[in-house]
Amino acid sequence: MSEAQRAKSPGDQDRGPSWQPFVFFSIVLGITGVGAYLMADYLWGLGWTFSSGLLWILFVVLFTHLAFGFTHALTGFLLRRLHLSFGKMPESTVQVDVTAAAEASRVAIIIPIHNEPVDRVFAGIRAIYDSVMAQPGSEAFDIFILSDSNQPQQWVSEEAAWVKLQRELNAQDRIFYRRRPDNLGKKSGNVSDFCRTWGDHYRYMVVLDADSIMSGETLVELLRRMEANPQVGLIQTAPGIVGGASLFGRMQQFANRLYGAVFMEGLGFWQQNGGNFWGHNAIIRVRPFVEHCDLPQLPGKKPFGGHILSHDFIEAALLRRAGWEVWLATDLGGSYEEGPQSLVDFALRDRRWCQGNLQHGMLVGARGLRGKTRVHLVNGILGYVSSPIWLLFMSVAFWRAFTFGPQSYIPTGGSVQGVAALILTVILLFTPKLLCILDLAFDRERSRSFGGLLNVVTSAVVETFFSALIAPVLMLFHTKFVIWNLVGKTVGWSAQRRGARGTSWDEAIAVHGFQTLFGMGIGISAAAIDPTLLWWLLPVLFGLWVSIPVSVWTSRPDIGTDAKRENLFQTPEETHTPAEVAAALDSGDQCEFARYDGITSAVLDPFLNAVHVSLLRRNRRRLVSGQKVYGTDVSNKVPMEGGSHDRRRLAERLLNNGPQALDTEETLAILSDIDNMLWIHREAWLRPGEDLAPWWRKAIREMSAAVSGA
Amino acid sequence: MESLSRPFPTGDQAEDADSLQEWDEAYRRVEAYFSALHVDNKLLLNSLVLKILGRASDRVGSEPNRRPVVLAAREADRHLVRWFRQVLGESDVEPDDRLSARGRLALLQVESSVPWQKHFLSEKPIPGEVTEAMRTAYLQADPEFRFTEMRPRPIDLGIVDVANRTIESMGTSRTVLQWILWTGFGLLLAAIFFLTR
Repeated sequence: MSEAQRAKSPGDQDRGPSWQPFVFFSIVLGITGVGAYLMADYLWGLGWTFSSGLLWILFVVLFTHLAFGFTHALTGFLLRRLHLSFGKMPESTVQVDVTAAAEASRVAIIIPIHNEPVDRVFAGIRAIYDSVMAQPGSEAFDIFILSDSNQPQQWVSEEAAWVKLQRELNAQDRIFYRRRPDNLGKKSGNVSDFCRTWGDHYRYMVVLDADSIMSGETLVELLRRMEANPQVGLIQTAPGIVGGASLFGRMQQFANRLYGAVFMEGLGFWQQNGGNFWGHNAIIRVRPFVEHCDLPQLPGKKPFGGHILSHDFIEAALLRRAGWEVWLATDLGGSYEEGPQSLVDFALRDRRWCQGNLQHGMLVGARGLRGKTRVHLVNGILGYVSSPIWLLFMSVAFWRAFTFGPQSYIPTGGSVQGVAALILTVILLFTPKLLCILDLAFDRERSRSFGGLLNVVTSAVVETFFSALIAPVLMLFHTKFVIWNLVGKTVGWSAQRRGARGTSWDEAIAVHGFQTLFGMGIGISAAAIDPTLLWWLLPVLFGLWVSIPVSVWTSRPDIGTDAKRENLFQTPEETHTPAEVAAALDSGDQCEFARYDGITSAVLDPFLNAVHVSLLRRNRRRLVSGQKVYGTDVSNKVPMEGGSHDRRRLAERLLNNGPQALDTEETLAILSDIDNMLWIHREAWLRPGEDLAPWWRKAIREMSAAVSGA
Repeated sequence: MESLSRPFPTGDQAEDADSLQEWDEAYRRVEAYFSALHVDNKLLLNSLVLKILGRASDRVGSEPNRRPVVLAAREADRHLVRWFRQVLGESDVEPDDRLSARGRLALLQVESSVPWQKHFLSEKPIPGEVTEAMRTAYLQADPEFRFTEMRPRPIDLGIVDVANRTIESMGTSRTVLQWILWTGFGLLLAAIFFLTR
């Protein structure tokens, strides 16, 4: 059957129900059942009231989520230790010669970017390209930088960096750059735009984030697996976090590398071919993606209606709905990303993700979706909604203690069930981490890559301590985000803040001030009711009290460096840094092309000006000739030719008063105007100094001085 | 090195201090532009600048109101466009600014593979190797467009769709419904408060 035919017959590749999800969810249900029984029995012993019922319902929801996480660790641990491959994509009987496959199956590595740090992005692309080129079958791969940047500086710097990269790698026909004049549909719109314009050239696309790094070996292996499994629509890799510089960043990457392997194995076990897409570091079959994954607008207003924000889950859902398999490659390394470097950055990212995940509530009940897809969606929602549920649980418990006194929680004659429920909860909370350390203890080589078992245990204890401090802070953050979404307060989908710069005290006070006061208020109230109650609440309240200093200190790169010196939170990628990771994280000097701010370089540099104009022309041709498939009126987005009177006035203002005289929109308007960019370049060089703003005189003088000094 | 034989601007203009400063500014402007075009051989760069300045000084008599920096910059631009037109084999129809941009782009593409510097702005015939390379040079930003239709398929949201349609159909009473829901939620909280006491 041809690929085209397959794409038109959804569901025909279904392998049917497998036993793994049944086993997995039976364990979850069993654990939840025990916890629910113990809690009910304990509450019954206190004398059943309305608040008991409420507490029990909230407890069961939270406990189920906890048991779900625990079961991942348990099954993952067993699979790893018993060397069972029940969670892995079955090897096909089809033998694939990658070199031969590369001739017929082209792969586009696409990197959608939106005002990202240019040096880091292009260092990553260079590292990936070099790594791919060293592999057999490398001729199958092209790289596309798909920019949605709307800051003049970013735009021009990206163009400069792209030309530099193309020339230095002699990759004129392998590394491509395209910038959209708008960012319609955000990242998913950017990817769709690629599919509409060039998707037909490629059988597969590998979607990367701006901070993604993938080794050539992994990319070629993904190609091989796709070729060997024509029923598979998407393979997601499990990216390891690298580049942690602050204490927070280092703890994140340590936790990801230590616990991730076991949890991913458990995830792969139950989801089987009903996997998920996390938006990057995954290979996708282009044709079914084009046919099934253009996302519709949801009915109603934001934040639940409109454009689907967390598109990745839904794209995987639509592929599954059409009968294509989606797998998680738990056994593949060579896939990396960077994480947030501070608690504030983490919360900012969570705020966007929260909005996207809550929006999935609209889709959970959609007809035609697979059961596992619904589990993914509900799990994503619960990741955020569990915080207000936890807060509500604590509030009801606190209120009950306030009303009836803390002694009301102690049934007459004691309570074995209450203690058992508490112990079970603690087991579910901490055993996964212990299982991960135990798993490592059985693997000496891997253990050495973490700096030895003693080092791992020390790091895990410190990491667990900080996790406990941060958990209540995240609870309040998530609760706020959920409430904001429910009342319709939306956030923009801006670029993630990358790199460790440290959170200032002012910023930390602004962000965590309310949390600290809230924690203090509860603490004082608890102490006033009964000091015993304060002791019970201390594990949660302490994290809130110290949230400001913890947020500041864990964000500081110097403390992260100290921890690194002490080998705390060491990861395999630090012990033996893969070449592509080292190259990508060493961004080097700023691009030599873009000496000045965006528009100054695009105006003065004769080569960059020519490149910029050439790209504008190409983009114009793309938008005009592809107007039919883009499906929207592109007339106001097409780079201008024939420079309008208004824009010429803007150009004059730019020359007479300098770039500061123009706001971002005006600067973008000039940068988008082909004839005015040509005109300004000539005028800037032809006019006498007194007819130019001091800015231009200075820039030309500096260029001249650079020549003299060379 | 034909340009070395051209005289530095002479006459009254070069004799007073102001004029010297003006010609220095002109020198620096042209030098900066050619350097930005990656003419990195100092001797060649110097000779080209002197050549341009020599031509500019010739125009001082006919254009007395123009400052040396303007005359020199215009002369450099004129030479550049003429050279690009010659190398690229373009007719006079192509506007100067577009031709210049195309020429600069071609130069960027071939600069590391073709020995172009010694022929830069030369009035002698350009070797075929250089003209061929520059005429065929182009910036490949992306592969050939091959457009594909990609249209969203509707998702039946089930009960959400029904609820949404119902709310939409209620029109003006939507606000009333929202108030009822919020009031109900408030009453529920109040009920929890009283029942837990």
